[in-house]
Amino acid sequence: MYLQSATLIVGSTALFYVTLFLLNGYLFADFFYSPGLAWVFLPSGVRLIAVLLFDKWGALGIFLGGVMLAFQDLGQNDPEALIVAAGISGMAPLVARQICLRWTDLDANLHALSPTGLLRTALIFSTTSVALGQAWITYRGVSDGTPSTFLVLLFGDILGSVLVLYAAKVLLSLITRQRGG
Amino acid sequence: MTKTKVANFSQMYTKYLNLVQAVRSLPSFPSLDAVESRMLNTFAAAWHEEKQITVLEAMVMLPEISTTTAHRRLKMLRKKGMIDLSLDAHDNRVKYVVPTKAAQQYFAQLGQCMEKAQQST
Repeated sequence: MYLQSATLIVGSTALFYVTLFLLNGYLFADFFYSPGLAWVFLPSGVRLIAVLLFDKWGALGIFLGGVMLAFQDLGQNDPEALIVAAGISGMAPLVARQICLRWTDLDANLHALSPTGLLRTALIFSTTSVALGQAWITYRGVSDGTPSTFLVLLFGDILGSVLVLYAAKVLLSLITRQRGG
Repeated sequence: MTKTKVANFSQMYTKYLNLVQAVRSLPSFPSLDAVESRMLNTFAAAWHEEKQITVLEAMVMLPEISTTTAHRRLKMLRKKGMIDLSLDAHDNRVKYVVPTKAAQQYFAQLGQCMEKAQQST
């Protein structure tokens, strides 16, 4: 792939990820189960779309976005841990994509991707991301790894993905209407 | 541009189109306005008697609305996935308005609501 295009993909994915992350905190400030535990996590939708479309470049963009967010928190947290967490954020969707390619009817080119297939893929992406993320923070001793934490994160990821997908659906129908289609 | 690069871009574009198609088809719940639901109910009565409704007939079935409005509403009902158009087997110029699975489910739900309402009275 062109270096220019790859840079553009990685850059825009990172920017979009960071924007939605910050927007998520702003929009759903009242919907946090506890600090860092959101009932709605919009960036999960970006992870899904970016990795489905751009594969490793999308994942790299997510990682870069995660690193940017880690540096934003530099004063308060352990940057090394946050960078590993960013790596997991980028890697988890890739693992989820492989799971979907291997065990579901998802095709690498997304041929005949049905709405149900898309929602199932979103579910697998969310579960994998939350499971890997939780494994890491439990290993670090940051979280107690209780089922309720896992469930809140999973719920937030799924809801975030569905909201982003439906926002995309509304956007697409608005574009079609504007074009008179 | 090399062959590999062309293939890469082409693959990405195919993925994009497939994803857009899936996103567009995500299930949603069409809300029908009063005119649309009245049109649909009128059609349902004819479908129940196993009558076929041509598009032209469908446009004049509600005398209180103009044919332009009827045509617009037919398009909306089709867009909302409540009706479909099927071609006549002998004459391609004739199109029939037929219910979709969503419309059948809609009527089944209305039927269940009526049954519940009857039971509760």
